[in-house]
Amino acid sequence: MRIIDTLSRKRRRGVSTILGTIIFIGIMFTSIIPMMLVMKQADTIYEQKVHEMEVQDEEGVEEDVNVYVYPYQNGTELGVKVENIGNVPVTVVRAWLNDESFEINEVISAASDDLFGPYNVSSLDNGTSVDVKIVTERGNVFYCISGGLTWYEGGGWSTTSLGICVIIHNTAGGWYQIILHNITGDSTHPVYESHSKEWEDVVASAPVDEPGEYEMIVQEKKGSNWKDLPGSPVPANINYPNGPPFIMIWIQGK
Amino acid sequence: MADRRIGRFRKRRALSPVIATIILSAVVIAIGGAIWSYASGASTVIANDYVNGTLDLMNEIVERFVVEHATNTSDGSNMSIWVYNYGDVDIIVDVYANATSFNGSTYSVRSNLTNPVPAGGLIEIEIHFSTGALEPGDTVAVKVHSRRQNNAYYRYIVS
Repeated sequence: MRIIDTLSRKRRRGVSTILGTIIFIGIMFTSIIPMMLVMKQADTIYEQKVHEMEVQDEEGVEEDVNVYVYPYQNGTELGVKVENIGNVPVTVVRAWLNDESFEINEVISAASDDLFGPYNVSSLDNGTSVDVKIVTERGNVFYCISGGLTWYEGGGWSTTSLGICVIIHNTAGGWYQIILHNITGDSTHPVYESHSKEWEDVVASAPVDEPGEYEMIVQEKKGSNWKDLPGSPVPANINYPNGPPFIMIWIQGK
Repeated sequence: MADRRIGRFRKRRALSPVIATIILSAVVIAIGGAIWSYASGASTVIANDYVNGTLDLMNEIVERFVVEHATNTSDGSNMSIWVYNYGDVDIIVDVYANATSFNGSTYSVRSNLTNPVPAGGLIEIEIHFSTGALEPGDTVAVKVHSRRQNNAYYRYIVS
C-alpha cells in the first residue's frame, strides 16, 4: 500500500514542472522569437536601404555631363545643350540662367545629348553676363564649361573665347615646341618653344578665332632636329556651340 | 498516547494529493500566464521601439539635399538660397549664413530656422542681413542643417 502511494505521488510531482516548461516554451515562441524576427527584418530592411543609397551615391559620382550654352539668332533667347559623357543615364531636373530656374525633367542616356530651350532671360541690360548651370535628379550641379554669355544691346550675345590648351607631361626633361595647325584655314602658328631643357610639365594655350578643324603638333628636340612626340599631331576640332569652346590636350613627353 | 498523536496528524492531512496538485498547477498557470502576458507586451514594445528607431535611422541615411543656387539683392540686405531635397523623405532644415568681408572680418551671422522641404522639392529660403548689408566681394559661408543631423555647405561670393 505504501509503495503504491509513493509511486502515485512521484507521478504527480512533475505536473507543475511540465506546465512551467510549457509556459516557458510558449513565451519563447509567441513573444521572444517573433520579436527577434521583427528586429531582424528591420535590420534587413535597413541594410537594404544602406546598400541602395550606396549605389545611388555611386551613380551620382559617376554622373558627368558637359553643358553648353549658345544664343538663338536675332533674339535674347538662349539654348542649353547637355551632353552626357558619363556611364549612367542623367535626369536633368532644372536649368538655371542667372537667378531664373526652368523646370526640365528630361532623361539623357549615357553617351548622348539633348537640347533644351529656348529660354528667354529676363532683365537683360547692356553687359549683363548670363551664367548657366543644370541640376540633375541625383543632386549634382553642372556648370556651363564655356563660361557665361554676355549680352550687348548693340551686338547681341558675346560668346567666350575659343582655344586649345596643351599639357606635356614632362617626367624626364626635354626641349619641346608646340605648333597650332589650322586645317580649315591651312596655316600654322607657333604656340610654344623651350629655350632650355625643361624639367617641369609644359602648359601652353593657343586662342583660335573661330570654330574649325585644328591639330596641335607637339615636338621634342633630338640633336638639332624636332621630332613629333608619340600621338602628335593631336586633332583638336572646335565645333562650338555643338562642342566645347576650349579643348584640353594631354600628351606624354620624353 | 502515541496512537492519539498519530491520529491527530492523520486528521490534519486534509488535502488530498490530487487537490494539492491542482492548486500547485493553478498557481503555476496563474504566475506563468502573468509572466507570459508581461513578456508578450514587453516584446511588442521592444520590437516596436527597435523598428521605429531603425526607421528613424533609415530616414537619416536616405536624406539628401543640396544648396542649388544662391543670390543676393542689389542692396545686400537679403540673400536667397535654394535648397533642393533630392532624397526620399521630407526634411526640415535650419540655415545659417556667416558673412565675411573681403578683408577677412566676420561681420554678420544670420539664421533662418525650421524650413520644411518636401521630398523632391526645391524651396527658396531668404535670409535678412539687418545689421550689415552684404557688399560685392564678400564671402558668405552657408550651412544647411537638417533636423536629422545632416549638413550641406555652400560658399557664395557676393556679386
